[in-house]
Amino acid sequence: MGKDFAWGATSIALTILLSLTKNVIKATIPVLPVQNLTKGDAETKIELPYLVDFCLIGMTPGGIYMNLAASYITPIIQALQHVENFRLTLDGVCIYDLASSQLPRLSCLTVENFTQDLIPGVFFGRILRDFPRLTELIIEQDFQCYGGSTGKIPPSFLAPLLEPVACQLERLQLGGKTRWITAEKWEVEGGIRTTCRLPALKELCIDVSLCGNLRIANSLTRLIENCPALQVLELREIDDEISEEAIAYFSRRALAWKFPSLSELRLSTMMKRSYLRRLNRICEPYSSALSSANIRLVLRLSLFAVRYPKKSKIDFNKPVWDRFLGSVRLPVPLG
Amino acid sequence: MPLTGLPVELLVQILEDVFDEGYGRPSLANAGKTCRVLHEIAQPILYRELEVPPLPLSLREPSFLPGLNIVHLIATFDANPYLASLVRAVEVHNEYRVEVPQHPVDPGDPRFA
Repeated sequence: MGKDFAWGATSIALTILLSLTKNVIKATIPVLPVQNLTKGDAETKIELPYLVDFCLIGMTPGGIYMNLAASYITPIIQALQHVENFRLTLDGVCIYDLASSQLPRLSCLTVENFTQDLIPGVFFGRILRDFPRLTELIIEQDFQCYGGSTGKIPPSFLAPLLEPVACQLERLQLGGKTRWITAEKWEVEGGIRTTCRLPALKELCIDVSLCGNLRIANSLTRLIENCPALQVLELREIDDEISEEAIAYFSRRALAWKFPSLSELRLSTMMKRSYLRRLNRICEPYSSALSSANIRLVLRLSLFAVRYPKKSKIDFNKPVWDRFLGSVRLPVPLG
Repeated sequence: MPLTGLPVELLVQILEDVFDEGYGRPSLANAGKTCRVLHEIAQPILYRELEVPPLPLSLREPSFLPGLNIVHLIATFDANPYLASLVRAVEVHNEYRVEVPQHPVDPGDPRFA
């Protein structure tokens, strides 16, 4: 049996499955390398009136099949057009399908496997303009699939991307360690407008690698200071010496009342003994000062590695928490 | 008192616990086969969240039939639409990887203009 036929059959099967399960609230399906679906298949009618959470996970990082997925996704996207305030998770390869999707009710968009090679910020911003109800934007990348140095995203990417939704965005999450801006790029493109005002933003979640260089941190802070309603600042992927600088930097800024409405500084890391020890050391000088400034310092521990696609199996019958938390003294309240 | 003599709310809770507390889908399915009452309670729990098993690990496999499990599921739903109406969450796994070319996008692509 030919591979193309097999993948084509699978895509049709997935489409039919969704058309049969009309009451579905949450759906997660993979992107398939389907090239030659017939017109009839692409026009399969699907009605999903209760769907609020739709995740299209990618198997094709790097956009190999970006021209191939359209016919397969089209009927599903069409089915989402009348759904109220739903969340959509897309692989970067599907962004072009989104461009003509007409999803006026989309409230949360997650784009995974993101790379500047594939999606320029200006183009992406143009797409976002079509989502008047979008309040949450999450941009993630797949570390395992990429690595290396291709596809770094320069600062000039961010401002045009955010500009169309700047007034409505309430939550912004930027992921992708090592693959965002570099100091060199920053200097080269210094003349380009790199910040925009986000008046409605309440929660900003960033990888600490973005703050590793103080020049970058300064620019990022400019972005944050343009968010007068910011309540929660989350620093993710705290696992190396960069984290130390980032936490110290943002703690000092928070204490200096640079973020007037900030009520929570959240630190996210994997539950690993060495990380927790480091956190304990970094946070100690700031925890009491932040507390007296009415800024909660919250630690969020993930039980599996964000960086790796497969979840680690943790046996809760074993005294995992005792083993990790018993060995370190945490100055922060667990959130 | 027989188990089925309990109020339906309690039976629902018991079967939910059977499903959640590590006994899983097979045990719940077995419980559902014991009598009509438990069958009617177990079915909505069984079909509420569907996890379709992973698609093949490698595209290099010479012979594979992805979607076989989905086809079986569709046949079941086609024969019994009531079961399809019970589904609230569908998750189709995806555990395969393909190699990524270094420069996947043509810079001359008009969509980047």
